[in-house]
Amino acid sequence: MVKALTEILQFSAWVTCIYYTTVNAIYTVLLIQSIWATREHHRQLRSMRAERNLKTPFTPPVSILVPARNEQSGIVESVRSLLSVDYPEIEVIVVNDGSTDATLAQLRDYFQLRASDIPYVEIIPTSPVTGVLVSATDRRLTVLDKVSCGRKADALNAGLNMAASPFVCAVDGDSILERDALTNILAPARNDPRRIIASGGIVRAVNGCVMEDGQVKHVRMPRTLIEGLQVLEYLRSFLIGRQGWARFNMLLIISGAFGVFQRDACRAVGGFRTTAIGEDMDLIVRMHRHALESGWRYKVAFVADPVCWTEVPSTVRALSLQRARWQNGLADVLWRNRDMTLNPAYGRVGLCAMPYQWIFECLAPLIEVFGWVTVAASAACGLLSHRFFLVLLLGGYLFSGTLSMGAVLIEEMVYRRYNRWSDLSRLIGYCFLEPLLYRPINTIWRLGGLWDYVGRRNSWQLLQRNGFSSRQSAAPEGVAATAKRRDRSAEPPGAAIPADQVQRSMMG
Amino acid sequence: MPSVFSLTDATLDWLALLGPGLVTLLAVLFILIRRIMRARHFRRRAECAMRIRQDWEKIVSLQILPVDWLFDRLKRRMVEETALDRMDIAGPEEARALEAFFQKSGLLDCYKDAARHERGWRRREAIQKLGRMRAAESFPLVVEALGTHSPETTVESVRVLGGIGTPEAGAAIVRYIKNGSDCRPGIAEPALFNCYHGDPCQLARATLMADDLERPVLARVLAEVAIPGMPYDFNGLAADSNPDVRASAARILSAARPPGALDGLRTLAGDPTWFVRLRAIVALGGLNDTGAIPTLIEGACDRHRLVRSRAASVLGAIDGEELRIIRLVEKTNDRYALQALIADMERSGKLERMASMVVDGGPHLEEALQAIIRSGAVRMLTEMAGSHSKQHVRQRLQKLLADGRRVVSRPLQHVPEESWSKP
Repeated sequence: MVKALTEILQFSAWVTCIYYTTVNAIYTVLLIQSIWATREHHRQLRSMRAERNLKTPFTPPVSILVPARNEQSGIVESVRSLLSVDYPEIEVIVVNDGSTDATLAQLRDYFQLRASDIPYVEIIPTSPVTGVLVSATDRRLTVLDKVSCGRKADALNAGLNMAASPFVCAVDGDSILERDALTNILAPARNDPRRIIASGGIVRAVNGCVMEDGQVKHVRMPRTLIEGLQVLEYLRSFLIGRQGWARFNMLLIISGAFGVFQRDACRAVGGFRTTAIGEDMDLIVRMHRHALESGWRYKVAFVADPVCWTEVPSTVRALSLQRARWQNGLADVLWRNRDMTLNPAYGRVGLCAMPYQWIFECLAPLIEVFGWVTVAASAACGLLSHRFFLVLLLGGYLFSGTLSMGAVLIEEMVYRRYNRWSDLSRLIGYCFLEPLLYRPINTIWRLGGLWDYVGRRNSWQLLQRNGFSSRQSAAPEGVAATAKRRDRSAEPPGAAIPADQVQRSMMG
Repeated sequence: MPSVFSLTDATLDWLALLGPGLVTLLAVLFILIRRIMRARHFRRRAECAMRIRQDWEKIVSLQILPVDWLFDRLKRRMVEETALDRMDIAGPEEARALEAFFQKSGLLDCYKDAARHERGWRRREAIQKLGRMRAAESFPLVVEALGTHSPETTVESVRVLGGIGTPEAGAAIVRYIKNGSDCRPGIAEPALFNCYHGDPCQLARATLMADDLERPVLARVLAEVAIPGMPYDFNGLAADSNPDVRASAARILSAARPPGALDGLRTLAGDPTWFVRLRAIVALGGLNDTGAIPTLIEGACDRHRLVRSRAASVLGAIDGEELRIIRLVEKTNDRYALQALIADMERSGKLERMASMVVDGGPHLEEALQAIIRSGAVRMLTEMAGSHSKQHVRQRLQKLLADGRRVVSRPLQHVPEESWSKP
């Protein structure tokens, strides 16, 4: 009995050891690739000279889609910032998704909205749209008033139906785009409009920043630990993870808070799946699938220059809900597309990206907790020497800190948003605090999300949002998580559009 | 099974702990030192920039010898950047002086040498700077770089040639495309636009003589640079077998307005490919010719939704013919076309303007508004009848709406996709 238990523990120890070695090796490769990609991109920027591209008539118009549900605190600022972006031709489509607060009233008052008979054509099925409103002060703004079915994806689809431009940019109603964000995020699409089907930018935490006229005036680190740790987490996720995966054209997620999609490619896969929990990742995975099945030469790009500022959760409760939801969404997307995993027909996406997402993202909380239990049990059984235990803990801790430092290094070398010494020192400090304080708790939250998925539980809680104010000296404290309600049921039908037509509409 | 714990020996311990620990420590040190160095660098740079600004005339006229700054990295960079920035916006006289400065100071030769012998990003940087220097003698080097196997270098060369912006540079890009190179349209088209927007006739000649490979790209650019009075026959492009070229031909005909442009566009408006029809409809709008109205009305009843929508938009933009257009669309008995037309008039603000002028606009305007009310698209008019600042406008609109209610049909708000795209 004791021998069998020892064997099991030893086997578990091997599994844990191989898992950690592999994941750390992958992260190291991604870090190196990201540093390389950042250097390359930085050099290219010198020659791209975006302003020259802007002056040509070949810059594609963009429709910005803003789903908004109960966003009264920040919607006007958000739309103002969108209308002030430096881009030659935009239309902003705000979808008021059945708000029960003053979201629509605020928009109506500020932008002098008027009811219009502009037809809403339901290319992708959505909940009923009860009104189309146009602004008397800015013709680029259209507001769709829609009955909510409790899903952000449905609101995005309504916007997608209304979009007249070849590229659509999805932005959260509580987000602020920098003025040049659209120009930068569309740089890959401008250069190669036939191949780029989606392009992502970086999302940063606005908490703590100083706002003025709908724009971030001074970038500051948030005051609270929980928000600060998320700043670091976002940096690591975007600057290392997404940049690294995009370099191999294996990026499976473009943040729903800020991403550009080829409109017709998006419609070709049936738009955002209303039953998806993580509709952003779900869309990108289905776009990969569609493009690979259709034999397109395509690319999903990521550019780290364009910045979208968004509020991150400031309470433990809100953060735990958000992380559980993300994990739930990840499991949902992977399960629905499980036939792509290890399927050579889907190339590197099927053979590398999907297995990675399964093992090192979706099942990671399970494996990590399993690892902790193994180590604890081994220690209890006397199988674990103190030296090994120390090496394991310290090595893992230091490696984790190294990865975070890599993200801080890229940030410091290229983007340099956090200029104050105090902000930098806090960022560096968080690199070493995060593995101790945040990572284990986050693993538990993610495990909860996985458990929710297995148990088919989806509980959404609407949380208070402070919003942006141009007069305040610092951005809101105590900002809550975005709360969007989704659930799962059948997939919407996909409107098939021939591949050769995808680009044609751009010429109109 | 051997225990994984037995793997730990002293070497592994050191590796596991020292490796990441050292890297982290180095990263922290690097960041800190870099910050301090950057602060110093910017102080020095500011001082240097001030001195260079003060002595700029002497530097350009070579009264201050290049040896004083050429071998100091910071000074050289500052002088280079300042000179290149000035070159970008310089008039002919200053450009000549700066060109002479680049030649005599040795900067031009430095970058010519780098463009010949360096590889990778150093070569690309050299090509970019040579392009910005606009020296004729550097032109062959930029063109030569088009033939390299590195896609990044060729992209850089195309961009630089676009920046040079002369027809000769454009011809080099055309030759490059002609050789079957996989040049991204997003790079080549803006570059060609820059090269030919001052002399579209050269591009027209090149387009008309082009073969199948480069004709679509050239036609797309010509569509953007074409000007009225170009003495060429574009009917060949309008009858091209490639729908991309035909679509571009529509725009070219609209911009160049050769004799028979209207007929050519009418033909293209009946093209079997939807995006050619779409372009033809937009081009007909550009002609601003009332003779195009019947074709546009047909476009408003097209089987493709985007063509219908765009035709309605073009019709809505024609001034002074509102009543005629509304009547003609009404006659088609195509409610969707009428709805699209009115929606576009709403979107462009025309309906609002028309409603505001209802008192002084005469019977034609009133009749047009009545036709709109008959279509059922009354949301905006109803709102204006309640909220317009002028009382007499409100009263007249209310009367029109009250009269129209007897015949009003239901507005078309939720239209299924299949109703818009006719089979």
